[in-house]
Amino acid sequence: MSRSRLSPVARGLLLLAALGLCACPKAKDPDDDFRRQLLASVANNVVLPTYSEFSSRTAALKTATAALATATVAAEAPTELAAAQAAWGAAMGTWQRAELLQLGPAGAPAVMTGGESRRDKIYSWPTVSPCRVDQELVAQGYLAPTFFETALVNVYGLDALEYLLFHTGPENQCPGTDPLNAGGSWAALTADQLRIRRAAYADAVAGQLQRDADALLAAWSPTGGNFAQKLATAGTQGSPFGTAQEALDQVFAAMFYVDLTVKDAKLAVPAGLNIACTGTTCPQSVESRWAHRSREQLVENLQGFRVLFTGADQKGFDDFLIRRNAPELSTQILQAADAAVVALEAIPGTLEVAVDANPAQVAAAYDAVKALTDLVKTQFVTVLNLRVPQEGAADND
Amino acid sequence: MTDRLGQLRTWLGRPVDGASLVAFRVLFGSVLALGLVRFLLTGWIRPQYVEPGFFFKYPLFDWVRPWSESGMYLHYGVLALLALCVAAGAGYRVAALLFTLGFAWVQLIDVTNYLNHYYLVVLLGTLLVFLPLNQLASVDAWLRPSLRRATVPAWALYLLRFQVAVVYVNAGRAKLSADWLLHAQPLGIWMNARTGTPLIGNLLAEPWIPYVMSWSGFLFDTLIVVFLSWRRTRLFAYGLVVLFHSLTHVFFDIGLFPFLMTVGALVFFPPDWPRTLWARLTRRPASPVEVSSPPSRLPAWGLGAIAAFCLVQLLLPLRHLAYDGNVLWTEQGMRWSWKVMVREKNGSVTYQVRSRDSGRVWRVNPAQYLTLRQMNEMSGQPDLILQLAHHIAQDFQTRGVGPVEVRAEAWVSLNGRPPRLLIDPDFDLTSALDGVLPAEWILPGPDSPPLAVGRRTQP
Repeated sequence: MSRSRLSPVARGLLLLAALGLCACPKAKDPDDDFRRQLLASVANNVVLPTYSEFSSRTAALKTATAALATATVAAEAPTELAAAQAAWGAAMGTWQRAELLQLGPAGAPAVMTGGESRRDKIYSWPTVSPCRVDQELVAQGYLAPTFFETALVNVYGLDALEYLLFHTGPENQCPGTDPLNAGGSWAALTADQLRIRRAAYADAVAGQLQRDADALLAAWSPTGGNFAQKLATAGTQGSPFGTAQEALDQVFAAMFYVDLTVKDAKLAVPAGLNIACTGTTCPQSVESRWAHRSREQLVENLQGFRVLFTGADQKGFDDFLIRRNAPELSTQILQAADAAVVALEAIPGTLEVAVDANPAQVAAAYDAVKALTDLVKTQFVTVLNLRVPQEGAADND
Repeated sequence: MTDRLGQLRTWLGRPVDGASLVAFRVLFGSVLALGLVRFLLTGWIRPQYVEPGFFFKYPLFDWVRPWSESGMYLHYGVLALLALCVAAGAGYRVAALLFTLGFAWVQLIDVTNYLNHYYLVVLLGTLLVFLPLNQLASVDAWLRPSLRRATVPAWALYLLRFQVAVVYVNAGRAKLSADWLLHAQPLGIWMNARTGTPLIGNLLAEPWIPYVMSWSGFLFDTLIVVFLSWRRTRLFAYGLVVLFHSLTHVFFDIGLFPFLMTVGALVFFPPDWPRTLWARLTRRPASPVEVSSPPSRLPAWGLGAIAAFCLVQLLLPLRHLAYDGNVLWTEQGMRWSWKVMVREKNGSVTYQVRSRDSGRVWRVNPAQYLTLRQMNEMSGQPDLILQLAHHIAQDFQTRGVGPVEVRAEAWVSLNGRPPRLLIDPDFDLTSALDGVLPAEWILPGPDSPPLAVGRRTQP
């Protein structure tokens, strides 16, 4: 009697279990395979080439700063300084594309799998402090063997280097009440001492930058930490990513740089569109205060986005959207990225001048970047069912 | 009429075996205790109650604030203990009351934390306060023999059955839409992201699966109460309940919901099912409970209270019918309506703040005020967008800007559709109040079909 009552349940469950298990022996799931191909493309066609290029650029930068430091000891060395500035610009140009790749070892450990915060060692903007650099310059802290192990990120990296190479004036950036000024230690430096120390400090920072760039490359390379492989094999044994979708979510989270940093911090604040700017405009808040390449860096950020989105014209998110029946969206995002680049390039002169002289163009550039982020934050997220890791701190229903 | 009401009160007051409701008490309290411990262990206290600089408030409850971080940990810890007290029937009514108030309190802190099953916990907790479920197998009855009674009034059983039925039926009703049934969305989107699921991942990649799951989910939610209520199909139906909620547990991060409903569905079994089950497990004859005690008539005020509760539970999920447009788009009438997992909505909101004095315009990314989780929840919900607009206006005043107008450009994608504006970008949100009236500043939803399910090409 009881067997006959239980049998419909048993039969139903067995049937459904069988349906599920029938799927197991199949080969690999094509969707998950596609995700891993996309992730492999990001790792091998985007991240590794970018970091490799950056490593080369930092090596060239170190050579240039070494030449500057040597030449400066004897006399002013404008040629060597210009060469070092150009090498910094080249390295920064590459790094601005890498800003979109703050995942894995470059990312924050609280958010990214395998995060080691290596990005901040290389470039910590907006955590920058020219005053702290001046203080270290006076104290010659950069000569200490453990300087780069103990110092905060705002006294080294590309940002500190920008200040050291491009600010050649006699003034410092600390307030008058700072011991540096109040105690007279800055004023005691001669122009020659200042120049020599800046060059020596820059050379020390460039040396560390090269080591950090190499370490980041090694963390992704097959001969090192091989994070590229870990990303490319997400969801399989040996990868720290539980699923390929989880890894994809983290790549997506890295794209948020365009929204929160490019649009809001780099454009809206200097343009006075953000309440963080208390004046009409805030040209002093531009990203590249000393080298005056803020606009170029914004363009490089968007180029970085495009490369990441397309997988460097290999397998990318654009292909995934097509696969997900949203080819129009793929086209729209690429067009929006291109339009944003055009709008940024249309800003005449430097960004710090343009925010006052050509506010309409700056606002147009902001709108163009926003049009891109609106697409990325809405239909793109939905179609690929993406989530930034911080969103996961709750259940749903 | 009076006679019929009298008969109804007698019928509702008649004693029935209290075993099933005691089992419900034990399982409900245990599941909640485990769920609360899980919440503590996941570390969600910080992102939900400490990190946000702004909390979205429920009307009339804007005074509810989170404790300090350690206070919130303590609060959740005490809630877990109270849930255990409910399960054990120790200081039952006080424990149930404090648990319900404490649980409701944490839910009132921030609207973005709203979940249908948290609301269900509050409702069930409220019912438990009034149900005499500590008369049997409880610490209270052990300490006070005068409490011991093997029966409960029938209304207690029917009230719980009603509450569980309301959830299922309305969840089914919410799926009666073209998106769900004709386009298999948003399940199509969600399943595509879960093809890495062990064992069944391959199956989920099949384009027909979302359709099967959508229709299965609709039929399950709509009909399961009927099948649970019918003796001949009850056991099979409960097997489906277990299977359905197991699958939803695997596929979606919906926390306690599957466990709550699996426990809740047990109330449809005969009230003596724990005795029958125990007899089978121990291979001893079942000892039916004496129900010869005289029926105690449900008082008139009790009948009135139950009727009022039921009426509210019946009407509240239907209130969206009073508004124009798709509730999944406007969200007017969305909360407390058991529209569980029926939409995938993502938005991008930018506020435009204009000084009334100088005419100067600022752009505000909600991320300046919200965590990413809050922002994600807010960006598709007009009332929350309105609430933040008011907060931004207040904040700008505090900063010395003076009076401002706040407009929102809110692009929202519903179930994979191309994004469109949710709110009139020309409407000054500071001139609107949050309320139950239709919000004219919410723009009409999309007419186009959602994202098509399935793969197209092999790029």
